Amino acid sequence: MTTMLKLYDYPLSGNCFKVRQLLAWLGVAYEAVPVDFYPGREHKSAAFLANVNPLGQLPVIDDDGFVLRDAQAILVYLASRHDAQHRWYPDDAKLRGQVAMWLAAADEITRTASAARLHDALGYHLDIDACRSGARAVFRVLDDHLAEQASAGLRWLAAAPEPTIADLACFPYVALAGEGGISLDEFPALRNWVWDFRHLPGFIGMSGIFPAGPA
Amino acid sequence: MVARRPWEIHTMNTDPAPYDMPRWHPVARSADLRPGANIVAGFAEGQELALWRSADGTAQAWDNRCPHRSVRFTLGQVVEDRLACAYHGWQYAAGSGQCVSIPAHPAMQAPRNVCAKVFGAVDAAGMLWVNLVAQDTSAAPPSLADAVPAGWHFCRTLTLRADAQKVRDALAQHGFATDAAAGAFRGALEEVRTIALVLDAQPQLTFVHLWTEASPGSDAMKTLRAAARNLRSAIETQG
Amino acid sequence: MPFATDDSNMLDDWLVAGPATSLAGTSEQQPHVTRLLGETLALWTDAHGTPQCRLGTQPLVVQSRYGYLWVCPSGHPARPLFAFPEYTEPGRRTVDCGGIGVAVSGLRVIENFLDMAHFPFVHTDYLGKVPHTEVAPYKVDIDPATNEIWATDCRFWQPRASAAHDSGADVLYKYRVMQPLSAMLYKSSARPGAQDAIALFLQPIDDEHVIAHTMLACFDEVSTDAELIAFQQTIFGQDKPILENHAFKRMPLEGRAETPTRGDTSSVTYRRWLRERGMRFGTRAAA
Repeated sequence: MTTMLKLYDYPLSGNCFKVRQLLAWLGVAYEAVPVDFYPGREHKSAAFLANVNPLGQLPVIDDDGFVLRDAQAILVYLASRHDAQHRWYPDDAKLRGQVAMWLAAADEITRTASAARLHDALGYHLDIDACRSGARAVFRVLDDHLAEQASAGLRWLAAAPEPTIADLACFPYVALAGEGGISLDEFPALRNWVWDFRHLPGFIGMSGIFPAGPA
Repeated sequence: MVARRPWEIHTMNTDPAPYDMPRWHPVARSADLRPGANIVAGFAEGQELALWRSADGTAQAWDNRCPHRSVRFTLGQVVEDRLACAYHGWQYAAGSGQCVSIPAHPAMQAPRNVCAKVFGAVDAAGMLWVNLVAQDTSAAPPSLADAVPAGWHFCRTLTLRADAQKVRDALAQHGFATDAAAGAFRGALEEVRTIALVLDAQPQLTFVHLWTEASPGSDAMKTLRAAARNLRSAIETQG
Repeated sequence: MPFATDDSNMLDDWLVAGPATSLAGTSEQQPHVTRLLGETLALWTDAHGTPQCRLGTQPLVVQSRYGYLWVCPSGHPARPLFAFPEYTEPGRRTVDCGGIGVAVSGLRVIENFLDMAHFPFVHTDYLGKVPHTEVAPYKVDIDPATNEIWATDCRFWQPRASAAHDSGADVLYKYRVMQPLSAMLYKSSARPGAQDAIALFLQPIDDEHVIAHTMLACFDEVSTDAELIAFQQTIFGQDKPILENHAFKRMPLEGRAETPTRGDTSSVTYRRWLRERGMRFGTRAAA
């Protein structure tokens, strides 16, 4: 008898959102385990470090005893396990390489844009100027890529007709960039991509990112 | 007077002098705005705009600010021929910008004096042009349609962290000549024939919409993309 | 005066400077540091456990009440700190839900807190749902004894938490504004006949930035702190992009730039109340 997948979760985490959203798109039921990330810093508590994730980070999943940390790793696992059509994590070698490349960019986005948001919203002490300029640098790479491949009719990060986990991984902290004092004014292709992603059928959103609602 | 290239359109003699005309800003590619679907943030000389199309395709360019509590319209959504604000769902009609629905009071007629600020917007040559001075779109100069020749392809919108004047000067230094009526710069980057439409978006932020004869997927288009990024680096690192 | 404003509404009142727990482990040599009215304050507890505050070498008046620290920048408070009887009521849990930075004038954050009309649009499926958008008339009065604003007889349709279909009911609310940057809302509790209190205390960093401290004083024997905090932060996180996307960050108290409607009775009263006390901090002059 299998137990339901557990997700160690925090509502304001973009990395947790990535997992919540993919679970929704894959139609996989789960039990959310709320972690008092702020102000409680529960993810850094001795119990959490010992029993859940020695890196003291969210999200973490426990799939009937199979424990995995790191948002991007969790996306790869869930897509591989549950996506029979292989659209979220395509089989094709080139596409798979591209997806991996953009999953790495998602880490850079977390390191910069998410950190800036933690500074502005939750008072974290860090080099805010370095975070913002680092975010603008990686955002420019994404904006150039999306702008340049639009003429080939490609709307998503990998050269696939539909979004993949690459888009999901890069999306939340781009969409939340304003909360870290990073303006998206200078990235028109990125803004169009954020709009398109928000309007995908079944997009659930998170606090700070509106789903496309009814009138 | 710069020597004209063979492909330049000779409209300058028939149009009024540039300073007599309200300025038409190329804020976005027309195809970026889908009827009844999306809202795109636009910028022109520091003015923030909410750009969208009603279901029948008519372009709208509004001051990006709901008159209720000043929240940006770009957080909202398009509902057929109306723009709905994200905060309280107030809806405003395309064309007039008049508020037509206040969900907190469904039975009440929306007050007549609640109105979004509407700017003139016109599609021409594949671009959406906005006039910050007058709402009268019949004042759009016919030369806008000549800004980009038929059959040319959109490359991309390049954004530069530099003032518009610096960008225009740099384009001139690269041998681009300007057709003053539409503000289009015609020249070549790495020998690929290019038209650059320059938008003064904000202080220290300029958009350059690049059109070319080269077809999508061609080597020339690939060359142009790389050349555009190099030009951007050169302009941004200039003292 | 070094502070970023000379508005006596700020200088002569008690301003929240963070939760009392931030003083754990502090000393004069290793204080907790925070920002207020454009300045950096050092806060610590002395050998007797009494909170102390300093701006540079200048001592500032500080007290610990309701689980938070309150500083009076001028040292001459015009009135005592507001009453909060629910805080010590037996059986209530008090939970600090964390201070969240918001880049907008605190006046706009209070106005948003008092507003119900945004529930179906900003807090869809939590506090409201289209098409239940109507705001029924409610009462707003100023208590002459305290000069506090009270909004009563407020009610709004709220979806049921676990409803798969369109079911819900009217929830009753009361709102209270104690200071320009402090407000409270009361809503039906899990305990029958009682009301939970949700307090919003805004720490003014400057005219366009606050740290929003939310505190619950509620009757709940089921939820964990993590669950209660997660819900409050979910709601506040939904307001954040709205608050940070006002084209004018400061609130206009005069002029016709912004138009209220009938359901905005609380905010009309709040803006008039601010005008009458000569509020300048966080405001925008008429164009």
